[in-house]
Amino acid sequence: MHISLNNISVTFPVFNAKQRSFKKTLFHAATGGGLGSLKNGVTTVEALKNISLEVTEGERVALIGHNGSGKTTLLRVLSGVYYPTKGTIAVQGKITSLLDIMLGMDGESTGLENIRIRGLFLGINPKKSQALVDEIIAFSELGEFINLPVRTYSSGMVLRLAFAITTCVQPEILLMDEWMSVGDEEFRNKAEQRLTQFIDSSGILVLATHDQELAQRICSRRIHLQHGRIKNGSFDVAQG
Amino acid sequence: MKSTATANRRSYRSTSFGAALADIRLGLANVQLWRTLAIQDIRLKYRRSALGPFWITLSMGITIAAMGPLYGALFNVDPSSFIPHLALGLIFWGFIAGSMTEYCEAFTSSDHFLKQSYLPLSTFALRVFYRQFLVLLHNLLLYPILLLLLPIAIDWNTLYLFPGILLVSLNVLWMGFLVAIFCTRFRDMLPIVQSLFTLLFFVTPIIWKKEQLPPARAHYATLNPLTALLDLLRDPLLGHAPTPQDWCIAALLLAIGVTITLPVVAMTRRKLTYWL
Repeated sequence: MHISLNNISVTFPVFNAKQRSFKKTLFHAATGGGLGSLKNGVTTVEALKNISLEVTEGERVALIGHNGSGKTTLLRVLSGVYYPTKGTIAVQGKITSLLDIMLGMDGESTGLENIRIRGLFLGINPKKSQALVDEIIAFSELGEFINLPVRTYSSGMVLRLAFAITTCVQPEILLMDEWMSVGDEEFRNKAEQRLTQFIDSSGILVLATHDQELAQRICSRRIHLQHGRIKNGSFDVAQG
Repeated sequence: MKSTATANRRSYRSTSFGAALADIRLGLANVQLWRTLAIQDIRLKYRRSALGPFWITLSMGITIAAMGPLYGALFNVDPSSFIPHLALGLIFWGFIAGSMTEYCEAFTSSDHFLKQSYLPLSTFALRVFYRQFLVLLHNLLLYPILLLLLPIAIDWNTLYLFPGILLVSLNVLWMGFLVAIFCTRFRDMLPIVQSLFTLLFFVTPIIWKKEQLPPARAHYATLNPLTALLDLLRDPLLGHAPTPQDWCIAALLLAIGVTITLPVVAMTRRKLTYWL
């Protein structure tokens, strides 16, 4: 398992209603503006700039930075959502991306149906997710509620279910946006334990967080992002 | 997701054209996912309603029952041949045109998935296709009723429906993929596509028949590629074999479509998530 980023940059085009409009684009071309000037007309935001990074198996990397410093964008580049506008990226290993643990949870479907669909998104085939169902029900403590539509659950129950599904497979490369904390006091300890185990079993962890103390505790390496760049001298390795 | 990760890695390196092919291959491979999503879409839309998805069938039935006799009388044509023509025309037009308007939001409505992890675009294109195909199957439940009420001859020609559906589906897929990409980049494409297909509804022989046109004009109607697609589906169910011309137009349309769509997917695959 290995992640290698070589001098990557990510630049977002920001389309307003004017550039979103096909009519305007056509008109633009027809009036001799040409496609080149159209490109100049688009406002861009540079979310990441010249990021080079090597992560090898066993590393626990924390991405630290303020809001808008590029943490989530970098996670999305690693997960393959955004293809860097400059530079090259090579990722070896199966990526599990937990940017949003509630992804695809559907209120009208039952807990069981949600397990199946979420499983498909995580790349687990239905036969295998069937085998994991009992474990998920047991861990989330939902009992008979698993046969009811998720909209009848309390928000804590939905989170427990999402958490149990997400953490039921062994990750190779795990990308997380903020630490997950789920449910009431009692469940939180259980979840914490499971999450730690889940992370321990992953080959590589990349965690985006604001929490310095958490980064210190969990991660072996901290990377400070500021305005989409890696801050100088922040390539520190945490002690012990 | 091992395969996804592998192809993911490969698509980083390979040309963007390779990335387009990888996208389509991966999407096709995860059949379970797009089928489940499409079925869920339909079930969610009609959940907690008494008739469920059969509302699709019912509303189509009402449209046909209302329009059939009305337009039959307006154009002064024999209802026993006009009503099946209109009914099947509406059902199959609903499949083709309905798909196109749904395709406008194929990617934008799934942005939360596409922004979470690498997923093939084709998964979402196939999801819309399969959803609309299920709608078509619901509407086709009206066909046996038509057979009972009206003199329609079923014979061996009816079997042409199967190659017909295959060819039309492939055409719907490429057109839809293109529409979906353009609608993601240009958000005012949705009303454009909608008004385009409203217009096309009137110039395609659905509420009228080719035979009603003067021979010189009828020629134009047969050149409309949507007429060919519609005939490939409608004619077999009316007991006729589609004309060789219809097959040729549809096959040519597919060839041209694929030649355009693949490069467009290749050019836009890496940019599309930025547009969401």
